[in-house]
Amino acid sequence: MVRVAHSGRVGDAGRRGVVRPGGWTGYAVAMVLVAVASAAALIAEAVLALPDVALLYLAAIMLSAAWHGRGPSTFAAAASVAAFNFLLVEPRFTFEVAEPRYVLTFTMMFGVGLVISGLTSRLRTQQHEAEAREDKTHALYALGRALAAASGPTETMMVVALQARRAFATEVELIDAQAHRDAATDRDDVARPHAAAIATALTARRTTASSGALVVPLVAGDAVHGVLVLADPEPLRRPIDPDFLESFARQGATAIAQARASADAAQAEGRARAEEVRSTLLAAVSHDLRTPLAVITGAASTLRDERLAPDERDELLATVADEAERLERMIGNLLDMTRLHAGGVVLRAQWLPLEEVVGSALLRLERRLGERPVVVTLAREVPLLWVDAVLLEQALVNLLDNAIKYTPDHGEIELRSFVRGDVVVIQVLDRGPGLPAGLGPRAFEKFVRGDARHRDGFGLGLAICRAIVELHDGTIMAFVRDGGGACLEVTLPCRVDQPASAVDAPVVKEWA
Amino acid sequence: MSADGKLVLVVEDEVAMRRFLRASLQAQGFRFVEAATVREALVAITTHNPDLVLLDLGLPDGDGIALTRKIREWSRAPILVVSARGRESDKVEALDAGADDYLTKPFGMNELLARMRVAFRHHDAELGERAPLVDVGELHLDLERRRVTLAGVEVHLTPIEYRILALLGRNLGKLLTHQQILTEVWGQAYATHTHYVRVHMAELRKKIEREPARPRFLVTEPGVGYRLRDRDDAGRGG
Repeated sequence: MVRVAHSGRVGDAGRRGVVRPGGWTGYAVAMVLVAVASAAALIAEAVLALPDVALLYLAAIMLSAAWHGRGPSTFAAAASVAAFNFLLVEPRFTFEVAEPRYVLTFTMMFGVGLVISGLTSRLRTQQHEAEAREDKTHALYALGRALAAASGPTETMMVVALQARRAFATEVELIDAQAHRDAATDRDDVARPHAAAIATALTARRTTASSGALVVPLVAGDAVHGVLVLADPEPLRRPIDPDFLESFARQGATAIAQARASADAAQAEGRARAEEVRSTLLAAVSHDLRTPLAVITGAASTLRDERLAPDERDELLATVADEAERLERMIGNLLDMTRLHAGGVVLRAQWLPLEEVVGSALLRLERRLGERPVVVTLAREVPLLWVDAVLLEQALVNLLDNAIKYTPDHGEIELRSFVRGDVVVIQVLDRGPGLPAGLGPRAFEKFVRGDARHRDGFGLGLAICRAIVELHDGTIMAFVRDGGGACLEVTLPCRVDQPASAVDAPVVKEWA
Repeated sequence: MSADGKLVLVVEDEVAMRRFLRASLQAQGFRFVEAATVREALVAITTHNPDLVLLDLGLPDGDGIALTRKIREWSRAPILVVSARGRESDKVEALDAGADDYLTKPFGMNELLARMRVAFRHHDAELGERAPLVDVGELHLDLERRRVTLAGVEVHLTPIEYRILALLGRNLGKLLTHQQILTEVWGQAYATHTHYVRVHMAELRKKIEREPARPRFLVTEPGVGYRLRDRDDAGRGG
């Protein structure tokens, strides 16, 4: 539920100082106006003829009509006639009239007063209506514009509630119909006083709650998307126009409905994709994890046999060690991928010479590399890199591991690095089968394997590489190498703010 | 290696790991005490006074790093910490808290024995005389005369390069964190300037390694530090 309390009493309608008919202010002001006109008349009487003086009263009636409408101005007309008679017509200070022609003057004065009052107050009403229409158009336009900028159902509801507060100048609550139904027994404190009215509103009828609050359903299509609760309007305010309220509610409801529909669609798509990934993963896990486990279990049970020849025993033990290592690699990849995807990886970047990372990656792969020579060519101009040593090492290990998979026992693997423009390029090259047709960028997606025969892992190695490289604002690509084989290329941004040379640092500690 | 019936305390909550370690260490001639929790470990240390502690940082009931600190308050026995890959900050913290080295799970017996060997040797060296000569294959360090030779040819190092190499040499086979190297070579004020170490290490490698990108002597432990690889050190790739 969105609740917007209206702070302060100045709304668009309130600011215009509209006083509802029946207010006593208008009559009091009329009284004052007539008194002022009388005073002016008494002064002007010395120089002006009596009929001219009567015009002063007409001015008072007109002002009263313009300010306060028909009732007060009619009262002003009557009061003017009375005051005119009492103060200015002989015999003075009585309501008696000496000459009959004054009766005509009084009638005319009252009649003209009424006409002026009628015309002026109609003009005034029209002006107010025009202003109110403009207000409503403006409010609907503001709502439309604010809704266009909102994204997602929650934000959309927030916008509707905020705009409703501005348009109706009162405290507003917006109750999410969905959540309200879901939690019918566990209602919010604020909703409880209007519970009955909300329940009615949920069946698409506008109602007034017992507290005087206006309860408006937001209906789009067949569904109620929310319920707008407008607190009891203050007594001195223009009443809320039902048509305007309806337009407002319809526009808000449509926007909420659209936001919900697109959120649902996105969620459904995400679920479908997650489901696909999960089933691929499950298939991969059930097959690929079980294979090494089956080998280990089998070898271990055979090893119990005391009649085994020593070389057979050695071979089985080597198998157990190899398969366990493979299992460890696969689980490591799964964990890395999960962590990288869950966003739980914090980049601990430091200034590093690339050589150092390459060195530790090659050391870690010492056994896996076996007899395969690795030719490392690092250009001298490659600067220090601002990278996470552990993550970048992992990325290099995975790139090299990929090359090892496609390289025969004595085949050569190359690792090169150089500067190209404003990036550092790191390439790992092999002479394997290259890239299968159409693999291209898909090589870096999860669970994609270049060759189905290589069931060593889940096809996660390069996806992990990509995640790590992207964490460093770098790029990763795969090419077919000239003369056969694949080239996997990583680029990392070259930071220009290289650290000050360590050689400059003074040595403060004398070393014994 | 001669175990001489040395007493090893294994602090590890996994029963299977304890079983494997007990069988393997006893087969090597070590005596074996075990603890599954931090509390048991503290009791075992006070009652048995072990020669070496093998401590798993992932204990369920407490903080292995705090335990390391507590042990260091009154025991110089080597501490080897065991942790999972990807927890480099834990390793650094444990090493800076006084642990001697670490192993990443899963590890092989050869790797464990190599680490234990290095740890015992340092422990003994701390108690006795420091060897003035360090030999690692073709690399020869004479700490008394401040001379470094590679395959019999003298290598000219800058003073800082020499200090780094000598520090690693005196701790042959032992892992030193970036912090430890910085503090020893540059002093406490430079403890955050880890790239100093890296840059000088790169220069040092150019002078003593045949292939600086595939070092034989100066091994990097990513995110943790460096060690001068011992002749018989099984290394991380082992």
